[in-house]
Amino acid sequence: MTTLALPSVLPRGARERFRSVDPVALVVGAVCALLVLLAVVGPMISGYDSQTGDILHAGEGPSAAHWFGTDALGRDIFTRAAVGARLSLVAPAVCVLIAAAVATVLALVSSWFGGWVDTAITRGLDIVFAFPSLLFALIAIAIFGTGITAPVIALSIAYVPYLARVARVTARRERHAAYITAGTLQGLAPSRVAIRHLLPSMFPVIRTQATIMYGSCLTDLAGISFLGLGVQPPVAEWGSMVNEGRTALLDGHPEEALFPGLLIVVTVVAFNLLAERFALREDRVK
Amino acid sequence: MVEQLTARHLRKEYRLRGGETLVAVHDVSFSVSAGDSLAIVGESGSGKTTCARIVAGLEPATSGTVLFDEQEVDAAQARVSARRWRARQVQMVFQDPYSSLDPRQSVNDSVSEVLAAHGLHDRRERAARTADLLDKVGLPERVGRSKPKQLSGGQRQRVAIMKALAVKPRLLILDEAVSALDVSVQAQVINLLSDLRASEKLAFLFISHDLGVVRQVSDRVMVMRHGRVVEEGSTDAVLDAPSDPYTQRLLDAIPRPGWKPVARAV
Repeated sequence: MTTLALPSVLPRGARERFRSVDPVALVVGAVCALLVLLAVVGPMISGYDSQTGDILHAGEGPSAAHWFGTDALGRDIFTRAAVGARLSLVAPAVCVLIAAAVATVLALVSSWFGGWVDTAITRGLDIVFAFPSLLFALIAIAIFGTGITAPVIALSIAYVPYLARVARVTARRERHAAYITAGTLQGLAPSRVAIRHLLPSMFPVIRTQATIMYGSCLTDLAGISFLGLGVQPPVAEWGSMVNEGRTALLDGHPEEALFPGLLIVVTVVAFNLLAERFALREDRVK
Repeated sequence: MVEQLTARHLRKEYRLRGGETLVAVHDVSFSVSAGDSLAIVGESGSGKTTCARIVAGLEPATSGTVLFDEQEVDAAQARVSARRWRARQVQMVFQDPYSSLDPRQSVNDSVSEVLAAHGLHDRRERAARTADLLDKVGLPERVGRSKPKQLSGGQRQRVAIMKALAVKPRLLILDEAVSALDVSVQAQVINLLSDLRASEKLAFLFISHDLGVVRQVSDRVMVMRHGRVVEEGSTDAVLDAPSDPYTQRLLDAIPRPGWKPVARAV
């Protein structure tokens, strides 16, 4: 009569599907989807322009007309936070993608050839590693002027060693695994073995590290804009919004600093949790 | 008779930290004729695996020559034809079945990749050949669609053997290839190897520390210790009536009914 099946007697695929329903991953996914939604459709549904204010309604608290209130110039804070999300979310993604691409190539070359090539690359990375990432960005701004491009490029370079080190450790371990040796022995071209077999072995750890890095890159870029060195007014960006909201904060109107600040916190936490999930999956392939 | 493999006066030195040199292999010569099976036995560090790696081309010898079919190996293997030629002369099955297959690639894909590298460009032909190879090593067709993590140790080792056979090599090096398997699976794989040796006219170079296994698969045996050959001859002669005290000690170390290990003084 009983139709109750224990998970252990289910076929393999079904059991894996059971395990993969992960509440944390669901929440993180939902948060990420909301952030993207905010950036993509937020400015359209608010009905305000992010840069023109209504001075008669300056410094108002949240209301039905202005969900997050208005800033000192009467601009809608929700619209500015939504428009700012585009820059604040895309800029660190660009940084991390550039850094990950460069780091992967360096780690692959370094572990594949070993010897002096490895030593040279590792030493070079150590030198870059010695500079704090913000210092790098500030030097770039001092040379190329304020704006978002200089810090994005500088941070991309500054983050390379973090990713390259982790990727290199994995690649070096895999480099001498029998399947890599067997590949060359079986007459495959060395370039093919390196790219088709060794390279993919680095992807899981790179994915984890790049996700963690996305959070710190976002805060770095927001910090640069907060200092007034990155994105320039009147363009909206979370870091610069927090900066502009400082005076209002002291006057009892925390909205302009609070909402972008919260968005930064939520994004960073979500990505760190996502990275943790990725870390748990790293060993799954074996 | 044409020797399939001839290794002459192999010597391998490793430069240690502090300028010292360790000689892993001293002047070792051996040969394997077509369809023959030679076992190299000895304890860890005896140089048997180093010999195998030199033959396979995974490490250069400090001095000495390796000939396949009485042809010297092209030192610079960069050229495609030289690489393929070498692959068809010698293939190797490694000890650890858990690291010898790419975990991200299905069995069919990995075999197909090897076939493609050897000039078999037609997809359908490759699939047919892969199915044929699966059958040859006694694996069901569905194994072909599996990733290594879904397979047992014995199945993985069969896959490794099948990948090695894909290029139709003349000589197969088995570096402790059955040592990591449990005894019943080991027996199956040994039977498979014996069958393949007959059907594919393969020559074996069998590296092992397990004399019981050696007796089943090889015609001749070479005992190594500290990088030197201490005894060589037909398997039965060496294992039944060893002339060297070291071989005798190796034999005494095989567990068997009524075997009492020599108690160590505390």
